[in-house]
Amino acid sequence: MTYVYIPLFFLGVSLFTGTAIILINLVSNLIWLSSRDLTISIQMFFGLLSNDILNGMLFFIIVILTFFIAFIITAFARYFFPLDRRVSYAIAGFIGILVMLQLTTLVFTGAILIAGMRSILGFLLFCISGLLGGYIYGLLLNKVIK
Amino acid sequence: MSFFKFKYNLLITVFCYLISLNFLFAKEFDYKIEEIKGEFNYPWSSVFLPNGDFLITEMPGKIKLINGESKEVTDIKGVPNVLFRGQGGLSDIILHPNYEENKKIYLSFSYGDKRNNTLRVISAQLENDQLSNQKLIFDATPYRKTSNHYGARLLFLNDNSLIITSGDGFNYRELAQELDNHYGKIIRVMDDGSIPEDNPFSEKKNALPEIWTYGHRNQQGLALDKVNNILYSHEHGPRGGDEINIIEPGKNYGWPAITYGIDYNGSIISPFTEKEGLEQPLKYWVPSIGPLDMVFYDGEVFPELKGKLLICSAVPGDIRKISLDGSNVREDIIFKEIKGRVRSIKSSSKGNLLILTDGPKGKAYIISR
Repeated sequence: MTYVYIPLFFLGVSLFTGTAIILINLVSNLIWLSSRDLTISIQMFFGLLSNDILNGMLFFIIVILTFFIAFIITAFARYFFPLDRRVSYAIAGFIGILVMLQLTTLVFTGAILIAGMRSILGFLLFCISGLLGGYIYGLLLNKVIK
Repeated sequence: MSFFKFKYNLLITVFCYLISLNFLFAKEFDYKIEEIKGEFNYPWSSVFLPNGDFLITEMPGKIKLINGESKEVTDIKGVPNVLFRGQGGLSDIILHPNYEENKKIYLSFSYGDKRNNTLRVISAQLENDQLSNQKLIFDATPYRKTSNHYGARLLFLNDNSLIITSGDGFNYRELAQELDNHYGKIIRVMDDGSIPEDNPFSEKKNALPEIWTYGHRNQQGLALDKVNNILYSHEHGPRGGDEINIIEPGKNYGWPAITYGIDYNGSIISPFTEKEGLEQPLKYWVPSIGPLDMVFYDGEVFPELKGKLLICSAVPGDIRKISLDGSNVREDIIFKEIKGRVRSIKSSSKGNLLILTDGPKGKAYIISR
């Protein structure tokens, strides 16, 4: 039964992190727009968020791939360095997202395709989303694996 | 069904098919296409010389001179070093309005290194297949860390002032709305690089006086209707939202506050498509066509094209005739024989067209009658 939970946990935290990245990206856009007297109502905000989530397949695929690689490496690493699961997967999530963001910028000759990460704050918040995703994954694994 | 009825139906079907094929492939007007032998390495732009020869720029940093009669290709010497990376490299080339007297050409290119580069425009004298007397005309500031969205199109207005498109650098899109930098701007300088006194922001505090218009993304097409003195520009949108605009001094064209496109990753850049004080495009494309160059046709060779804008595009790769009648814009695909990303379209003084296709094995075609 444990092995049914693990992929579900993995997909769940990937969706969580992907949604968090989409939310941060949207908010960073809207903050700038409001500085140009283009304000968004609460109703419009939720409309835009749902639109971005529905169109955000690319984000989810990237996060799933990133977490897949990061968590497999972590599982191996934990065999030799048995750190607490929450801590080790949180570190993996943080580093995974950080490396993924840097790689996409490198591939596109310096162009940052996810606009929200152009500021240091946005970049850090994206990485923290990865950290939280990894932490929750470790927490959930602790519930089913002794 | 009897055999005769079947035969009759078949005959009608074949006849209709042939008629529709005829409409599909029929030429709208007569022309001939001549492919210039040889390949060009990422050609970007071209210009006809008064004697019928023409020059083609290649992004890695070469200029080819093609003899108008023999089509023999010669390398021009003394081309400045360029940064050939991403969308950057040697870009546009135009002649000074008094080229026959002063032999001056103008070049735009990306300059610097991958972490610190910019759009640069220089003038140089072209004599005996050699560039000399090179002078800096314009450097976009601040320098950028990306190798995208340079704009880099050049054009002389009727008053001999030089128009330069400067793209938003991709990562700096919000700066297109500020007047203290060159991201997402159209610039106007004199032929020696000095700033005209009648530029719209020359008196404005904290604004760069060479700015002509702002709120642009990546403008790779400029065309001038010389008779009516109307300047057209087209620019790439993100995913959707490519635009043609009529450029008037001091105006704000809206990017990225208003746009008809969305970000490449699918997220919304702005839910707004219009706002008071921000200009609306003459036409926009969703999905994108990737407009790469444009010419306002005023030649004599093709009266059918007179007064039309001819735009070449990357997606799916074609040449479009844009007919303007007030606010009505009609679009037709022409010269369908030319396939691939069409990088550049230029007209000679007579009206023959020079078309370049993009890529490491780019082709050049002359369209004449």
